[in-house]
Amino acid sequence: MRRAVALVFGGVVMVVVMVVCGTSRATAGAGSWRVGSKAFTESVVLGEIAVQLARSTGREATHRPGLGGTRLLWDALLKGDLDAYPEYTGTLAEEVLSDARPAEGAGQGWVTAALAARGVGVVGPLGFNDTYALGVKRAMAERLGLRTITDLRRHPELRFGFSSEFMSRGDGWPLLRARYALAPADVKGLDHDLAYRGLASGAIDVTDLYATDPEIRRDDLLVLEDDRGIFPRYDAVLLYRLDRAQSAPEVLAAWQRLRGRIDAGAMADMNARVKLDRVPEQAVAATFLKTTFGLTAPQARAPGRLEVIARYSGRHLFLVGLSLLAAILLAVPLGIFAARRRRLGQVVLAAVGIVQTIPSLALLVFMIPLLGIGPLPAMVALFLYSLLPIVRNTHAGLRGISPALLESAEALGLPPAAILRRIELPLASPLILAGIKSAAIINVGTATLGALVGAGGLGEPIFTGIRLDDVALIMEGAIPASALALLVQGLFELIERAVVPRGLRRRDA
Amino acid sequence: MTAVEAAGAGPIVQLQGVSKRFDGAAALAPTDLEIPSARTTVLIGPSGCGKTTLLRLMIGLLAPDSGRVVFGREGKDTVLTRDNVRALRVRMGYVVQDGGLFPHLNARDNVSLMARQLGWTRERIASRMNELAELVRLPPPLLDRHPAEMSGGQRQRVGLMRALMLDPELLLLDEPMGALDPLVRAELQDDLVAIFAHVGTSVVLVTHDLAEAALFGHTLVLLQEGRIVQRGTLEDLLERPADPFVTRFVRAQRRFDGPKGMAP
Repeated sequence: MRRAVALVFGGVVMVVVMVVCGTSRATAGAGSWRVGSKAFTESVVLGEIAVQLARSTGREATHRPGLGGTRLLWDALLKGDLDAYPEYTGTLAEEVLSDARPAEGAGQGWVTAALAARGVGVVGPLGFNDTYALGVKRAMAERLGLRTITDLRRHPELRFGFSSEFMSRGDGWPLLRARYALAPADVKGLDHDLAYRGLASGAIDVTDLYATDPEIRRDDLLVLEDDRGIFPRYDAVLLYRLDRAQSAPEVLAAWQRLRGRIDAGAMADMNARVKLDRVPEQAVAATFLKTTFGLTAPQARAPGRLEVIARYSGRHLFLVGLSLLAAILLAVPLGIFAARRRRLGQVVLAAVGIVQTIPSLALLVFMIPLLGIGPLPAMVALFLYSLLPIVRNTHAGLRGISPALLESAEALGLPPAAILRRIELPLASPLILAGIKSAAIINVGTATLGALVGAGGLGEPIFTGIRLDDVALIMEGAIPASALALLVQGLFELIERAVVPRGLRRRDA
Repeated sequence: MTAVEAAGAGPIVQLQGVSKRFDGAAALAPTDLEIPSARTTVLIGPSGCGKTTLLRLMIGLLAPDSGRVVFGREGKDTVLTRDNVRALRVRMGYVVQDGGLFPHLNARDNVSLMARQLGWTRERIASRMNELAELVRLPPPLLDRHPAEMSGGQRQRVGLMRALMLDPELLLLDEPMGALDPLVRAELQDDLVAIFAHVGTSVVLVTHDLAEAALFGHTLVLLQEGRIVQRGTLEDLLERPADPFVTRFVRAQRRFDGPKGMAP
């Protein structure tokens, strides 16, 4: 009995600590504008610009940067978890609205109409077209007089090096060669990063790139004009919920000022400042708004590194702790049930086993349409992942008890509930606790993926670090995550000491 | 009807036409047996003769395929059923070969488990605990040890304390000395005889050792292949064997064990 109390008490204390640590910044104000962005620099900068513009009207606005993918953002927008996010017309036409696409020759208007039918409005185009393009070194372009892709035909001696994807895509090199009738002497496929290096070293002369890549500035490249217009347009736009804009037209008006104001050069420059100069997106966005509109958006105080890490860690523990508590409350009874009812027990074990085989990223994406973005889908995924180790160990712990001991308990005249509480659960407690421990440790790792659905936590610096190729930032998430895993392990060893009966503990011999 | 039986105050347990089969094989043929109260009855026979099955039927760990088990006290008979078995077990004590102690509880908690479940006060438990420790000659400091920290003989004494805790009307012991080495065994045997005499309760003890049976038993019940071959005193078995098997069994035991107290 004392031990059962200690177990419950220990668990509750642990979870309360986790929750208190985590809730400090768990929710944003309900009236706040929520802007999302995808997990690459350009999208985050655009999202930040939108947020700061919204704030300049006096409204509150929050940014959920670096969410994991188009589908996720689009679903979140439709569901109302987000009010706006930056997108590209090409992506809308090819990917998001592909099933609403009319027959050929319908023009561009159908996209706006299809969006409106779904309650979504468009601000834009913002001014740049982030499509495939060909780049050459500016010095060479000036020497040879290159301005457009057509100009390349005059110089078949130039060596072409394309990324493997561009070489193979139907709308890449094959289309380019056919439509411009290019016949270069030398074409090879290579890795995108290597292509930039090759261009810089003079090993190749022409490569494919995205029109706003920061390397354009770094390597002093010139983007050749697609004068025959063969590449699909990827005009940057800002999508927003029409219903939300009606209630606050001044925010929409502020965003409308962005139309046509960001050209490819400006965007590439901003990307370069973030990726190459390591300037935070907020500062880059603020500088843009100041030089373009003379706006001085109120800047939030930049918190110190330790404060940031503490905040991420707190949120991380919150995700893991709450999901683990819920999992314990369900999985232990499930494990008991599985141990009691053999046939149905196998079904239960198989079911939680199958959940475990779903890749974590896929599981997170499944959650979006049901639960939106934020901590909830991440916690539900972590909860589901915790079930298997706990159910399986509870089941194994109970089934492993010697029948002779159970008979002894029965012969005493103990009722079944008392046998479970006084005999079976204490005897199974080392295994049950081991199951909870592995679930907790694994979840500390898995919870980093929560950043991709806007759950926050230590995945946020990790994924931002990956996006910016910033090892220090990755470490800001990875080191505390490892430390947390060790901490959780240590914590469970303490709980083990309190909960597992002395007679069952391993002897130090 | 022997003199021994007449001395008792009526049976504590009656088996009426009780039989049991395992996987189609008969473990116990339909059997009638009365266990006298305030006496020690020994079930004896070779391995697989059904003596343990008989004991487990009495405490309801097995349900009979036919017949019924009647638990009686002062003329108030109760047929053992699924519904009352738990209540009746509280009135019985059960000791198995290795003691059957729970490894996660220390000796004290093992002994007091059922008393705590029944809501005994702390004082009542403590006083009963001291009484029993004295009775089974277990040094009180050992009560704080876990089963893994005790010797086989000590574990068996704790097992006995647990069985006696609620002052049962019937004590059932299944080869309680089976796992002990000869010296410990002899010492515990002597103690048990004294304890049974002191407690004065009804006892059923299972053993395959005729010397042990002779030491404890007012009444011996010899089984072979699921049937009772003979029941009576040791003298009855020696002098008036009901069957050639009885003679064979007695002789085999004499040859190997040289049982004490068997001289005519």
